[in-house]
Amino acid sequence: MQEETKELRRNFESVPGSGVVYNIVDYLLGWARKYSIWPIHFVTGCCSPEFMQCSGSEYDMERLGVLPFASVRQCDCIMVVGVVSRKMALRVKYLYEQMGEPKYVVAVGACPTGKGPFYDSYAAVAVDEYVPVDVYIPGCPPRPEAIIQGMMLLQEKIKKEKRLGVKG
Amino acid sequence: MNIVLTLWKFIIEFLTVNAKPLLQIIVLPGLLWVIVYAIIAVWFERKFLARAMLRVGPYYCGGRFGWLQLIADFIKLFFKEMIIPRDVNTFFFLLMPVLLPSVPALAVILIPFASDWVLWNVGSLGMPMFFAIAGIAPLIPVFAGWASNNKYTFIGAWRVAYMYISAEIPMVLCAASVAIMVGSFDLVVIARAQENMWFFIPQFIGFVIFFLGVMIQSERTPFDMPGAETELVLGWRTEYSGVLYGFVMFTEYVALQAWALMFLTLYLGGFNGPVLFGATTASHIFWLVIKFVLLVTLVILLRVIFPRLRMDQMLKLGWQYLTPLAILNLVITLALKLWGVY
Repeated sequence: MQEETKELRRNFESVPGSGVVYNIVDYLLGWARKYSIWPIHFVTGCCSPEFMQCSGSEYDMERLGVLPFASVRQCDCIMVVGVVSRKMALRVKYLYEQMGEPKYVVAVGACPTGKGPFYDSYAAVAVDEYVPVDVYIPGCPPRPEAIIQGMMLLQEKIKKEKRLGVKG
Repeated sequence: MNIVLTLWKFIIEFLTVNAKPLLQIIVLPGLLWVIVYAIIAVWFERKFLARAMLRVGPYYCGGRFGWLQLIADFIKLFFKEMIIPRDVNTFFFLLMPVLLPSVPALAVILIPFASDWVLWNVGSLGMPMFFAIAGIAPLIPVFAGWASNNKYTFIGAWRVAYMYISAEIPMVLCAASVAIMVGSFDLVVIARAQENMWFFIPQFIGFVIFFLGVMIQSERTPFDMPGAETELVLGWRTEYSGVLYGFVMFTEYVALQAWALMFLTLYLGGFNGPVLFGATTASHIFWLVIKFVLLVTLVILLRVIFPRLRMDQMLKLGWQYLTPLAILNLVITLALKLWGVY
């Protein structure tokens, strides 16, 4: 399968002008994914009021196209909000595996970033021991401005990433 | 000057006579209208909801007003991984999202957009045909929920079946009262009969019942139990991802469109309105579209105002209040018809 894909790509790249098509599709995909992040909130702790306010009337994350969703199958991004215990981390991993590619993880607050006030607990873990984290948002709890800035950083990251495997 | 006039007349005649079936299939009740309407409606709903909640809504995508938001969403959904879980019935799981928008879109072709602008004019079979096609609609979510092999989708699917049946019986009874009043099943005749008085005045009970039925059939918020997030993740839509979810999202709005157009035709004068610039067909279409936009705005506004009902409350509403009222309405209409009031 991989060999066939490589063969297809080699054939496609030999066509003059294919690079332009690649770049256009790449740009469109980046633009669409950047402005259409649908997060699912994995809320275990007390950062959640701040996170709720991000979709509220003062701050409104939907300006950036961020639309909170209920089911993980349709989502692009997990927001891990609050402390993650050793037992709960397996659920984060399970949730991550249920989500379709491309998928991102945002760690909101001090606890999922690095255990926070539970630094000496036997049960608390940093969430990046279980799933790859794209953006860390520090704070205990982070202000809604900080969470929105975290989403903007995620947008920047999505815009820069390599999508079709083109070099340069 | 003369040549330009002749050419203009030729173009108008070509568009209204020769190319009419093609225009109907591609543009107005057909493909383009459904797609453009669905995209604009989703964008409008998000923006309008945001405004009602004192938010801004989509803003940065596409410069001003976030007007490219839905395009971005659809491109993203199109290129997202489509997960087919291991235990689903693959055939039905993949078939149902494709069938979903096509059934309400098929019902729309029976609606008269003007007295001479009906894509599929079946004459006196219009209303029975509409309800026959619309009667297929609840089967599709039921199959989709069953094929997904998930307890949430299954419960959501049965909720759809319960709700549709409890709404459809009063709706058919109300539509039957209108047909008795006019003396015809032909939708064009029914719309024409409202030239002087729209039927929401003589058929007020039916008007209210049918409006609630429209809300129930299109799963709008006071009646969105099949997709109740707090109980059933996303109801029967839970397992759909990627482009399949795109289809499912699109469907809610196509269903709303079919029922809303039927509601307008039965109770709010259909295409009737003052004729503008002597162009009868164009002004008929214009008035129907204007009424349709206002109705959709009202339905979206109700989503902001009301919380969700419980399932048993909804069934009680359907069977205990709407159905007896609809039968009462039918009896009153029959009596008045026999006495010769209508």
